[in-house]
Amino acid sequence: MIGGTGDQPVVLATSLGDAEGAQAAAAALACAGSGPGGAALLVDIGGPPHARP
Amino acid sequence: MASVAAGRLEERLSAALPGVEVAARGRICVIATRGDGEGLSTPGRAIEAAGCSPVVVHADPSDLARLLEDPVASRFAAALVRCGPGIDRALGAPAILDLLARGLAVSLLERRLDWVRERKALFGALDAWELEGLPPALVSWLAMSRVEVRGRAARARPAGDWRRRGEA
Repeated sequence: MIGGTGDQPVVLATSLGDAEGAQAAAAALACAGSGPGGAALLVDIGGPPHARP
Repeated sequence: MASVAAGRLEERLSAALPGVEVAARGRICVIATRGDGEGLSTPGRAIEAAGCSPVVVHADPSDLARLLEDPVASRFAAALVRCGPGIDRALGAPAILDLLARGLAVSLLERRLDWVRERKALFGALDAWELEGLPPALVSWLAMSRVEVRGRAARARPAGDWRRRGEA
């Protein structure tokens, strides 16, 4: 098993220095983990507030 | 617009996390929280409430140290680190080594996604064929977990495989 405490995949996404695009990359990973059978969750810490589209 | 699956996850999370704003967005669910003490309690509760659903936690670099000191950090199995192509070794190496020491499979993303795909991703509308550029092993692991959640079958991939392929 990959680590962590259970079977649920939990991924941390962050950036170093001034590198941009980590938030979108995190969202892209969430998209990769989503499909007709289930949706993935993106938890955004410290970013701008999200409004419902 | 949100998928049926995202809508169901939104309902479940909203019921389990009163006071937390949850939004189904395309095929994903999104929670935004602050990086302070109160806000940092949200990821752990959200991961629990999400059940078997995959969770990606994006942390601003300024909040990373506090997050890694929180018990929720034990839930992270992998990390994606966005860094410039000319990564500052003095800046980046300690942070990456710290993640590796915590047992995370670390993948570096040296080039950000193009503008269109970034916008689509943030709206939860990125299709599988548009994931090029992201670490393949990480994408495969998440995609596999999606299948496994449906089938309630096997387990996740070992992190060591990623590192042997030179992605860490």
